[in-house]
Amino acid sequence: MKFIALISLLFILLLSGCGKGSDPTRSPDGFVPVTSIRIVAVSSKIAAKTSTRLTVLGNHSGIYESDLTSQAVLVSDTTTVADFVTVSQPDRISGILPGNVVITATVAGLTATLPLTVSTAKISTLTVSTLTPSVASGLTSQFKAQGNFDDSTVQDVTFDATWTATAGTGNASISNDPASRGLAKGLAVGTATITAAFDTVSNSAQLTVLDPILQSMAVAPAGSSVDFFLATVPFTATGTFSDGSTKDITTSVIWSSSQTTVATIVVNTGVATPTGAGTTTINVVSGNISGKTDLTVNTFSLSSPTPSVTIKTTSPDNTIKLKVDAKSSVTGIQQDVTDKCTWSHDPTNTLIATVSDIIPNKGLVIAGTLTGSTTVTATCGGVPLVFTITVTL
Amino acid sequence: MKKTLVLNLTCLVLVLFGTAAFAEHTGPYVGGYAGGNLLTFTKAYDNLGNFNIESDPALQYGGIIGWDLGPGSPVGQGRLELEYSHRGNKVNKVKFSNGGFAGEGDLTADSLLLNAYALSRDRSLWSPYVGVGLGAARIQASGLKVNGFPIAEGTSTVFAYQVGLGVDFAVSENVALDIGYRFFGTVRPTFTESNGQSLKMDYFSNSVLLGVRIGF
Repeated sequence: MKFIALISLLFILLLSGCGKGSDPTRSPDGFVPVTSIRIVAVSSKIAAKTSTRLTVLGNHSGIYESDLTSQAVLVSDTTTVADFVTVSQPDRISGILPGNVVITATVAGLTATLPLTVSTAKISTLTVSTLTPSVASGLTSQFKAQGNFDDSTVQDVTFDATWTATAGTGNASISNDPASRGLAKGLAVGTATITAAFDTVSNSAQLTVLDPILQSMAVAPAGSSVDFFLATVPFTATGTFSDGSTKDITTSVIWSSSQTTVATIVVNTGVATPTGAGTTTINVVSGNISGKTDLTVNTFSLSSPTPSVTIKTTSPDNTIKLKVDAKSSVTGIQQDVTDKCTWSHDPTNTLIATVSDIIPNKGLVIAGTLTGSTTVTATCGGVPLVFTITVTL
Repeated sequence: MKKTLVLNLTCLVLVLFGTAAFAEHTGPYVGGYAGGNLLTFTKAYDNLGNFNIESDPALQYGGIIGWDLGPGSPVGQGRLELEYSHRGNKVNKVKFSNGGFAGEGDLTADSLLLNAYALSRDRSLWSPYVGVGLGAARIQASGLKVNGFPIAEGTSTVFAYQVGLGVDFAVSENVALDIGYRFFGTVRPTFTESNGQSLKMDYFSNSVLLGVRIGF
């Protein structure tokens, strides 16, 4: 029954967080039928040579509306006046000649109409603007062209304008693709001129292209395994920038190790030092961009050619230099790690012998004034190796 | 008047926290219980995504037949029992990605579980317990609607499980009261939507129950 109690408590702990809600991802579409549709336009009047997108909204039994534009079939009753001529945007109606048309939308047997007037208005002025006048090289900025017409109407003509980019002290490109019209991309540091032309009018705005910014970074070597006795493991960070270029950014990023008992790392050089067996995550960060990789230090065993030594209280036989070897259990390689170890002696027997923990004398045992036996310990990567020291007259 | 009140309170404390004057029951028992239950985390899934179903708290009732494992049992003190339980909750709201809408319909679960409870008995009249149950549940969705429009219907029999904890109060050697909490869950039952698509649903219930057991 203790088993049952344990299982029950475990279940309660596990289930206490079970299924806690995330936000719904589904609309009631399909359950609540669409009873009518309507066409929505920014304006029921557009100037000739301009265009506007239409939205078809479905009324679900008077309970809510949903956007059904993608399911709608839209037609114009007078295609010489206005028509859906943009293949990639079948909901965009373009004014061709002045006149009146009726747009009809059909969705699943339901129809709606919208009267639309194509006016004789002529453009007076054009305003070109962007919300992001400065971008890093390789990044984009959406430009907008707003037309002021002689009938006092104002219309977004971003889609209907022809866009050009002129190099200045810097360079940029701009798209005339229907899917991304007016989208500028910084190419070279400096200032470029973005121009929109519609009918007989054109206007420009400046785009400042800044130095490329770091977008991502890769750390090498990735997922490496090393032996404990290695003095250092150099890591490198390669940054990929907004203009697509790559650069070694090893010394301009901040390095850290998640487990300093496995490896430490120099914060500004990326040079790691194994300190014990295990796996650590090497993290690197620059601003809000980061990277990481795992470093595994292979397990090892310690040994010494002189685990027990005898020295005398008097010179010249009153000292001995002890040595520790580490043998990798993965590669089988054995190396001297004497200087990587922390050396300590029995604090209650310092009159018998002491040991140095300072390079270059690490492991140097010095006899005291008393005879007897004591121990000296070398701790290497968290693993202790105990020596027996006997001091005689 | 004041003396009477003090005397009554003293008696109540002695009864509630006193030591058992009789031996613990060992052997078969039957029982019944009732209480309140609340469905939580009821998320429904179909080919278009997921939405949440909210329901009212409701009455839960059931019956048990089992065996008390008393002192000296090789597996320790506790109970092994077969439990039938009925839960029926009315749906009141359905939450979709574009907001909450009025919901209606019933979610009903009839379950048959084999429960094992571990009991901690001492000389007190109170004995706390904790346990698990495994079995099957028949879950029925009837008249599930959003704003009057049908969502799904159907019945699904699925694997069910339960964890519970509570405390027994020994009224006599053969009669015990039980107040406890149960968390009940099932593998997702499948129902049929009005358009023929299948709809899966989480079913998790939290219950607080008061029961009585009579030993033989």
